[in-house]
Amino acid sequence: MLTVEKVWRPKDLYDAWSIHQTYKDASCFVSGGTWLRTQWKGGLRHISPHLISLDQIHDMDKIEEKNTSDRSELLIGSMTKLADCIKHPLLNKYGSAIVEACKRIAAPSIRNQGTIGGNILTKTGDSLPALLIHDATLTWFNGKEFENESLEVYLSNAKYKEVNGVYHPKILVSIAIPLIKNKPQNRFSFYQKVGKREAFTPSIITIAGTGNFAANKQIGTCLLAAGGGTSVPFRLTSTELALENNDLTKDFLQHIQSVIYRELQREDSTISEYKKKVTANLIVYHLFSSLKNL
Amino acid sequence: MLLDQDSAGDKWRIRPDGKEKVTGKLRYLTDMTFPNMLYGRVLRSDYPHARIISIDTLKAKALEGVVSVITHEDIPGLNGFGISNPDQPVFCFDFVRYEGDAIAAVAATTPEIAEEALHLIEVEYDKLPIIDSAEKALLPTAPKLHSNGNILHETDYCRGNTEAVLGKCVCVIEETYETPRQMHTYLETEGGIFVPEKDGRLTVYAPTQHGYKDRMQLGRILGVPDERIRVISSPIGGSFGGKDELNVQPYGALLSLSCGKPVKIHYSRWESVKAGLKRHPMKITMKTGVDANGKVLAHEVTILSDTGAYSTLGGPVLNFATEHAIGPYQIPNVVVKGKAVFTNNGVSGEFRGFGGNQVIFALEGQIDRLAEKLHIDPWELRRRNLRNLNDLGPLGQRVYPTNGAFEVWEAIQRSPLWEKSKQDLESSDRWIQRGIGFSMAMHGSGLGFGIPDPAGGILRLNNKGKIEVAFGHEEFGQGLLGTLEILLLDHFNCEKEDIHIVIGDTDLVPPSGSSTASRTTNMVWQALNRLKPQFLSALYEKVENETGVNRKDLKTGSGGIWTYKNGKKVRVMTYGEVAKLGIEDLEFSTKFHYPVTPDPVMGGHYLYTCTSVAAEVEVNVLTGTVKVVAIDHTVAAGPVINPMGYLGQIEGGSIMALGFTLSEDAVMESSEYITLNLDTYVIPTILDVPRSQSVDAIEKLPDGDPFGPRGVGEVGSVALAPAIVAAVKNATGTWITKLPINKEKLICDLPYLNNEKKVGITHDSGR
Repeated sequence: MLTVEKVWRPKDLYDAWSIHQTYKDASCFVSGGTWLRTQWKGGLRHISPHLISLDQIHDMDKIEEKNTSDRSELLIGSMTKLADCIKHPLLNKYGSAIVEACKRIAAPSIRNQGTIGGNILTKTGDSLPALLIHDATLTWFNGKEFENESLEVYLSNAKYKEVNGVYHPKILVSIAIPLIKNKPQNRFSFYQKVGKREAFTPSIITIAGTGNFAANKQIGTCLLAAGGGTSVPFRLTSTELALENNDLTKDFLQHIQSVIYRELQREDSTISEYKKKVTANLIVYHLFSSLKNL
Repeated sequence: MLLDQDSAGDKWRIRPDGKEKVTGKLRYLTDMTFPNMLYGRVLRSDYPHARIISIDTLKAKALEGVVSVITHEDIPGLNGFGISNPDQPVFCFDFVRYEGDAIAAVAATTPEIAEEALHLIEVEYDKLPIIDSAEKALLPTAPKLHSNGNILHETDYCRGNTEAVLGKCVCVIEETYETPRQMHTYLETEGGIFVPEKDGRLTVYAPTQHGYKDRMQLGRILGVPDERIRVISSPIGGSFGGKDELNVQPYGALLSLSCGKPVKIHYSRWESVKAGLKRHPMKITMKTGVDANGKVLAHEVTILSDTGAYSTLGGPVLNFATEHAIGPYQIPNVVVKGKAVFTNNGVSGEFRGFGGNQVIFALEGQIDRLAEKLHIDPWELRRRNLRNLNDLGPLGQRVYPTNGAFEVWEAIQRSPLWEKSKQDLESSDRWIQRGIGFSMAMHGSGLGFGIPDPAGGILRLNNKGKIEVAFGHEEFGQGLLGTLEILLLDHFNCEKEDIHIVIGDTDLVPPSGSSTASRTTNMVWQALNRLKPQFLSALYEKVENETGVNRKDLKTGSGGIWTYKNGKKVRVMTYGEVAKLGIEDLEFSTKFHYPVTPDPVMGGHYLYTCTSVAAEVEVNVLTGTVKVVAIDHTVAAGPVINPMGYLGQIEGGSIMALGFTLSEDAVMESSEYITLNLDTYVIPTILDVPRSQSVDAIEKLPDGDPFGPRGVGEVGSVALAPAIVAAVKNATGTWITKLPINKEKLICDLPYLNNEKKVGITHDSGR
């Protein structure tokens, strides 16, 4: 019978890693623990005898702007509580879709404990579409050094890997989103989650999008992402391509609706009719709204 | 009268149990612990339908920390329970009929050891074909779940000649309606502590809606006289009908007696989902015909009710549904045929509304569809068919005269939503379509003809000098304590500190019948009316004998008994002083029966509460989501005793109905629950309910009515579903026949891209 033998609270990443090296499969990194708890309780994962809490590790829960000569980034510590993400002025300024997504995860008490890193590591978390449209990069600690990986690549690999792996061999340290300082005019951004009720619900559908309109009101570039439920969120790159440099006429939007529908179908042949229809409806609605609001 | 804090005045009292509940200080029965307490767990079936080949508990018994492992061999009395018919085994020994069926139970020193012991009990099964629908259960090839077959109960009511008359009707609507398997979802799951006492008695601390009935059932299982068992049953963290039947009690009782120690059992939510009761899912087909004037001439109904593996109250629920499939409408030709059918789908049982919710959804849907086809306003169509004051009841039985149906029909026309429904419901967003719908219902209280429905209570002065009442009723959040407090303060004109209320302990209270069927307020009101004259007479006699003040000049008041001396109010004696004189002659009890129809119509009711409901919805046609933004209720239930309680019951019932209509369904596949927890079984939260729900209470009763307040515990939950569905139809043009509403039916294609204001709706006008 498995019980928890010890909850470790290392003060730095090297210590955390070394505990994990000692106990290997019998250990598990924990950030807020709010999602893991549902997995343990539901018998979907065995609770590890050694839980390695990351809550004491310095500076993993900060949100900061980092400016170098060639680029600017917003760095979000993986241990940042969802509630803190929602309140943070920098995230509100540069990543409103991410804030919107965090607001819709679970309920207030859970958001006071759950972290954005934890939400990412579920691979189906509701923050993921918003992070995808911000071209997020993940920074991992692999025991020796830090390595970067695009969120998009991480998620597309996650689809094919065993989702029920007992432990993660790397520690997620932070998430970087590039900041566009000289933003083109007429930018738009949106996020929406459809659940089984208004709040405190798993998602059925999540969508996020960002982009800009040119002076002639044609849509310029845009980034679109979709997810929801047990789907691993992904970028709708075919739809993005189809949209680029086009007028959003009624006929064109109806065409885009079927482009989205088909892209969702290709990504997951088991996706429900409802999900395809509503995802397409909502993305087209938001594009149309964004144009109207120019 | 619109019920709110202002109109209630000083009757709006802080609940006696309010502060403790809100601050989390209240110790529920499942919060209790005892020294040397053991933890009990129940082993449930691996399969929904199987034959048991063998049960081996040896390994479990050998595990360190396990104190007792019991099976059917360890039951001294009857291996069965069930309020109506004890056909549910305490422990199965030959067949298992649903995944919650119990096979063994364990008591151990820690919950973890108890859990491990469960895994060590070895049961060999021979799987049997699964009956996962009522239709399958009725096939001639279906295995028999019980010796008498798969039909628990049938109803067959008929009057007139529906077949002939339907053929002559100008318009006939035939439709099949389906309702979900709803879960009570009480915050406190089933549980309790069972304590063997030194004197050989057993004290049971476990929630129930009928302590005396639990005592009877447990006495039967343990093979001991009822008096050897004491049931302490309140406070309860929600029940809604789900805790009336036995659940943990047989296991806790047997384990504690076998160990000689206190045993605590408390179900996790998962266990509560699998083992606990659910609302009967029903398929109701109605064929209803009218003449050109909208007079309903004929009405044929078939009800197929999935009662699950065992009886519990499946029969009475079907009886109730049969009566309420006709409801407040006077229809000359009627056939209602119902079947409650055994399946392997969990166990369906008692649930607020008691079979009314399902058929009222169907019945009101029929009326609305007839109105649409005839181009008659649906509210006017109802008027042309509504019962009058002295009409017979739905099953042709004599009922106490009631004009409630007309009163609520009329009163809803004064509601804010009625006014609003006459206007064009503009929406600034073309993908949000708005609509308003109306419905009504007449809902019977009490258990109905043929079921013993006893009541009783005690009124006394206790040795602490308090005016004390004792009732065998339960407080499960409905506000009984608040109601009793108001009644007592009103009767005796005294202070809160002068009274004492005793409930929820079979050692301390008389039998009062169940706290179900919207009967409790009426029963305590009647009991107090019966007891008060005798009590006051004896009280005043005692005071007169002691003080010489004429009993005619005495009145109870704050702190004691008062009189007028020289125009001034003077207190003659305190209650405490009277008590010191002796209290044996100051105790009075009463026994009576809930009012029942004199006609031998099985299940027929006598007293009714009527309601009409208006609901406003916004339908997002991009996602198919329905949002209920406002609800207006009118309720005719006689005098309002406890305004906050009344309002709470209507609002609370309404929110349960909202879940029933929009999101709740305990889904099963091959007779196994899929929605195991509250992430997949979706109940409304504060953000899903309308900001505004107005409740207009009609207190008027026919002249000379002796019965007083009717019940409001259930009526708030029975009529909202058809009002929401009518509103959705008004908004989108789509009729819904299956609940919860499937969002896919309400998705439109990109309406905002078209130039028309609204797409795809036929807007009902002329309301």
